[in-house]
Amino acid sequence: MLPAEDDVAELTRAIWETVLGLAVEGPFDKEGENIDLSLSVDITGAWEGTVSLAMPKSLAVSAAAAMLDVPEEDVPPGELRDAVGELANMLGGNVKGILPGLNKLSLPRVERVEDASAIGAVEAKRLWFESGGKSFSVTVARR
Amino acid sequence: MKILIVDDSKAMRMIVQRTLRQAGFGDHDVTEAANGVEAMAALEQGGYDLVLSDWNMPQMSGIELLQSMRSKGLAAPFGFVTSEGTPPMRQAAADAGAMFLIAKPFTAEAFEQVLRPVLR
Repeated sequence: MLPAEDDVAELTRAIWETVLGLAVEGPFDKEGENIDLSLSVDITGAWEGTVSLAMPKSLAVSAAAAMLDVPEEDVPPGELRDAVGELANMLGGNVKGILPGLNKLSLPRVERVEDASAIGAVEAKRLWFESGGKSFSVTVARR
Repeated sequence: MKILIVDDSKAMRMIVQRTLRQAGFGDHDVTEAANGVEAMAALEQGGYDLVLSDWNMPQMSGIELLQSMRSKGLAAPFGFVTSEGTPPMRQAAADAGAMFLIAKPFTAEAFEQVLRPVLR
């Protein structure tokens, strides 16, 4: 069973607003575009699956700038993966907290898991959000 | 006082530093380490009054760092700052000797409330 959509949306909003200080709208049914960067964490144990955060590079730059407290033009390209990975880690850790049983969380890794069937998921839900006019998605897939 | 921040994410180390300042602890001497191995090397030099560590890190996890510290007689107060704040994780942290666990995402108010007794 997947965690409730409302719970995942609430966790996403809380992380975005608390860590980045950016407002979030959604979830929306309409799919966003131009996804460049996708980082995932695996949850293993009583519940087996993956939580993935995907966004365009422009939003990753905005997120990294907010986290590093520097202007967007000063974000080193190498820090984008770290910043988005930490957001994915927080999402995964918080989703893990609402799942039943004892589970373990992996380190963030770069992987496109939006096509849930490609990772052998038996069920998956992708939620689309917007922040600063840019789309991003959170996918929860159960294996 | 001397604080060691341990997290494999540079972005998160920056956020922890910023939150310490926002919580009123900006006048402390802060050092960073990117994993448990780097942290142990710093701690063995001595002089730290508090360790704020992530849990889930490559090379050496936060709980392994805490266990390694205690096995070597390094008694600096230790707290986790981690995305995983479930009751079992909190219990495991306490059992290993951690003073507290702050769950991400956190606020400056949470830091102030938890750290005030430590950073008097």
